[in-house]
Amino acid sequence: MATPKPWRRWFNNWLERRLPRVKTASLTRKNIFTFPSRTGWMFAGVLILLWLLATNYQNNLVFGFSALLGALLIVSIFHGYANLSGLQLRVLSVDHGFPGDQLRVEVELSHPRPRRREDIHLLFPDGDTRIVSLSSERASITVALYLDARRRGRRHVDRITIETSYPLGLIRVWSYLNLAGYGLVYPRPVAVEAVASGETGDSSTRSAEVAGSEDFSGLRDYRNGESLNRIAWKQFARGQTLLSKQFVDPIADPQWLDWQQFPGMDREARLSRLCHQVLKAARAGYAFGLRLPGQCSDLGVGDAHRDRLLAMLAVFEIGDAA
Amino acid sequence: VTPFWQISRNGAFWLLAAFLVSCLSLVQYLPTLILAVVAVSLLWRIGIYRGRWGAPGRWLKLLLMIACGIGIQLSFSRIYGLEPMVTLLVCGYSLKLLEMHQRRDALVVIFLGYFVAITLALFDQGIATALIILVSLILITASLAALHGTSGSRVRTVALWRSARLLAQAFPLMLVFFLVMPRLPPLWSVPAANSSVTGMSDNLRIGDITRLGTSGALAFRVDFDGQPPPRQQLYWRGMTLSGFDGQSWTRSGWGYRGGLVNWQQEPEAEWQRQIEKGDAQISYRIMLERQGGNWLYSLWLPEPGTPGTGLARDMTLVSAAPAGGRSEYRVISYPEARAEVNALDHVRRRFELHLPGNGNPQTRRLAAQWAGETGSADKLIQRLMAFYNQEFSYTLQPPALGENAVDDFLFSSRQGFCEHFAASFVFFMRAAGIPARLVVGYQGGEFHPDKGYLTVRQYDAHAWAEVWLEGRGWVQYDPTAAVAPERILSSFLDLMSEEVVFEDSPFSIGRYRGIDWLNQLRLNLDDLEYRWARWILGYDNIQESFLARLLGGFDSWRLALFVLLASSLALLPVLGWSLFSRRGETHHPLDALYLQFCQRLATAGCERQPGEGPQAFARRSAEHLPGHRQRIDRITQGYVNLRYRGQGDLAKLKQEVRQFRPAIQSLWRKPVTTQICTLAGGCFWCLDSAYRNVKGVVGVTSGYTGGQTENPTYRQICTGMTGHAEVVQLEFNPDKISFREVLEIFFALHDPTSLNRQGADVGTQYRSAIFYHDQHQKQVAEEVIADINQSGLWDSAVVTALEPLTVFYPAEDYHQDYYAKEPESRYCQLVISPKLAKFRENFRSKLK
Repeated sequence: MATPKPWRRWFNNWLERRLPRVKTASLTRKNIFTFPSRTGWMFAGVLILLWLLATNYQNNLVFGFSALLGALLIVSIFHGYANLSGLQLRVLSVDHGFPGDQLRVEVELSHPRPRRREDIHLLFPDGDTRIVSLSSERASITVALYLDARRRGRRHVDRITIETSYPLGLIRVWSYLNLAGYGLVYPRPVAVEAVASGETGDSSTRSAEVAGSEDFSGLRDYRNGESLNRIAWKQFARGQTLLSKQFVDPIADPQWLDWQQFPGMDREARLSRLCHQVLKAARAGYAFGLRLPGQCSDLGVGDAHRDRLLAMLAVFEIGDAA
Repeated sequence: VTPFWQISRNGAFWLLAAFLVSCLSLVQYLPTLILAVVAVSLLWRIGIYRGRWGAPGRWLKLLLMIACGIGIQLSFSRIYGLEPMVTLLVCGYSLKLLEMHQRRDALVVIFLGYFVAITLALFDQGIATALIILVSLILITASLAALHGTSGSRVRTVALWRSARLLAQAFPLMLVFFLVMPRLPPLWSVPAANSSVTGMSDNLRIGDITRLGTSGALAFRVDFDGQPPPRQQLYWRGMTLSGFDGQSWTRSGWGYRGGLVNWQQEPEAEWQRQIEKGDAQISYRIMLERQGGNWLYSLWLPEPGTPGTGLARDMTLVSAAPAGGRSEYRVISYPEARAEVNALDHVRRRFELHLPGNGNPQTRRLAAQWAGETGSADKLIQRLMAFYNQEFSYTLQPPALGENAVDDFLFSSRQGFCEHFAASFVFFMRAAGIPARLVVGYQGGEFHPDKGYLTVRQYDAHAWAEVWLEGRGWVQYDPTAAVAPERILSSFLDLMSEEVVFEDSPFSIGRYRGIDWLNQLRLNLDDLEYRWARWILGYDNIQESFLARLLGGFDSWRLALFVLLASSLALLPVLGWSLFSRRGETHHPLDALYLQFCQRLATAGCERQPGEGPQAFARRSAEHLPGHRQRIDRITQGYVNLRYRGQGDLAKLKQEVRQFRPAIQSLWRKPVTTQICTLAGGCFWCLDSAYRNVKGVVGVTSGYTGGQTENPTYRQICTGMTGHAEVVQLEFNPDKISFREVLEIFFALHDPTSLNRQGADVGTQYRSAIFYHDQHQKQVAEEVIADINQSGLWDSAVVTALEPLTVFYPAEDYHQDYYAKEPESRYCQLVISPKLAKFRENFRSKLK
């Protein structure tokens, strides 16, 4: 990203002070900006021409109609303002992802005093735009916008521009919203060239098993939806109720994924490789854990565990305050 | 092209509508070729709109451009003029309409449209024009709204209403702006409209005024300050025509050009001081319609009262700049004044005696001969007038004249219109050596019967003569008056109405003067138009005086304060509207109907939850309002069928929803005071089902009363030991149905002569009884029973008991509207259905 121009930087700083990051942004007269749009300036140009025409021809009817159009311009300011005023926005959720992904951001627009609002544009600086309308019968609406995931870390939601040119397109009414909410950007996964064999689990690791299909472990009441293959037909034939056979999978030996496996690499390279290993381990289904300098996870399996570890990688050595 | 840069279909629609209105209103000012271009563009664009044609090819656009160029070249001698400018604007408007691809293009068309629509006001400032412009503005703004709002781009009328609403809201603010808008003098001189206007021109050929006689177009209106002079004195002098080349009379430089005009604010000139004004004076104000020159109309010897007007040496009024539209000026006239009494200087005398070298020899000879015979100018004029009077006739269809027009007229045709008489008179005078000039203007006019102002129309155009006499100055002679004095004394219309066929404005002229109410309407419209014009024109003066009076001063801070206060006042309603209005969604008509139904349920305390489907809501609300279960189900089913299956009867559903009023009362309606009565007539299911269909019955509750057991159950009742009877309690609206009528139905519904039984139902619980709530009910019941006994309708006497109501116990829920709930049950099938059918037959007029 190119360094912003000085005035742009100044403007951003000013905005930061004026409209700080908030959880829920309410649009009021303090943060709604109003200015004629390009169409509005064209319209004003027409008005000036009409005024000249009226003056040169000393024509009161033309004066009257140009006054009417001028009043129309003013009136549409109020309608445009009312279209945004009283709206509340907050980020409901942000997806996590890898660099280069598009992170889905769910923004909720609500209005405590519902009325019809239309032609509201929500846009992110990099150009993703949604047009929404709210009706007096719905208190809220959820809009999905997409963010570019760039670097590892917390991807805070960009400043959202909410704008409307309702009702006539003459007046642009807008606000910049700095909404709290972020998605995690995990390190870019990089395959490990030579399989660095991790230490096999230490003595404290108990062998574990999870429900699976390998070894028979017992019988249980049949539940609707279970595979017919699992029904214990023998027992059924003997007059017992329908039972289903239960199996378990033995868990492979747990594995520790360690920062120290990749000597001589820089931080990001290590993280990228660990990330790849986490994904691989999660797919393989054995219990695994992660050791980073100063942090150590539990051993575990499953998607939730994987996501926890990925989050650890994502924010490793990145300050909370970012 | 991202979607929101496209032109929405409704945007295009309103744009086309606005284009049509603007161009139609300008039709009379545009050359034919340009009209063709406009038509082609419009039709092609409609073709695109309807999806029939694609964008026009390059050849067509080129052709249209060439057509525009040729059209302008052929129709206008120069490009610097109002008409050519407007034409150019319309050309651009049309061509851009064809070139419209994106929203950006549409915006250009829209702004051109605003401009074109308003330029119409440069040609005419009448009410009709103002209305047309307003309609155009609403349409153009509608297209702007349809380009930007989501709902406006979807539903066509939404954009139109939004536009009309916004403009209506802008109106109060417009008044404020209009009041304080700075009025400057013209910044640079602009070409005025000079498209052909019906009216006088400064070059008179014989026959010109005759042509004006067939036009009912307005020339000017006059408001007299005092009593208006009699009609035969209303000679509205416009120009004096002194130049004559044998064919046409012209207004030559003498009399009005620079230096020879004394403008209103200038000190009196020497020649002006020599005017003997006399005592009488008439003060009036004239509103002149658009015309083709700088002359103004006035009565004899005017004194200008408005800046920018001046008195010319020929004692006519002129304006400094020809008005592009209507203009208003004040005049004081001195009818007894005498001008240039002493002497005409040599040059002037020669000028007023000038005749071309040859032509009209007969007239010259006769003039010379008569001059010799009479010896004095007075006698000569008298003789000529007598000659006219005896030998000539006045007609609107004079025969054509040859090269020596005056000779032909005087010696052969002897039929003519005012100009024939006036021109021949002046020629004759000059040939006799008497200075004379032709005067053109209007004569008479029509007084508005109520408002008193005078309306002068083109058919009042007139020509007469002024003769300079030694010691008396200029004296007016009207030879037409000698021939046809009625022309001067009465209205032209009365005189000529059979002879004249008016070509223009069929309504505004007196064609319908015979029809009273139509004539009144015409006069009222005329008055409205005049007042409008006065207001629009006189505005500049009002602005300052009004503000000065209102504010008590006219300085900047007062003005600023006024603008601030007035604008806030004007904007307050807008603010309220925009912030607090809870405008609803624009719905599919079926959805709107269903929402109306939901709304009614909501007023009855059963609100639809967000996301609740119609069926689920119907189930829930039916539980909440068991009495309305049937209707709720019917409406919901009807809606679902229509909306999702595309089958069913919309009209029926509409009616059903309209009649569905679960809420008993609403606050704003006139409160309905209902009465309650309690009746026992056998099984309550029958009465219940029947009364639910009766008009005016608002509520039916089945229950028990008349016994001793507290809170009885149906099982207890069935034993017959409780003393209670099965009853229905009716809530009815006495405005719709009287208690007596309720009872009449009651007695038709059961057999009141069988004691303690109805059909197969036997027991005291099935007794016939009326549990009266008050003495009035008791009295009415007694009367009805007496009537029935007397009528002999039943073989035996009525046994219906009259008991005062004690405590009423509503029956279990499943008894309420039992027939509707269990229409398939045996009892309903066997007992209620036939009874209900018979009841419907007999009481059709009283059913809902």
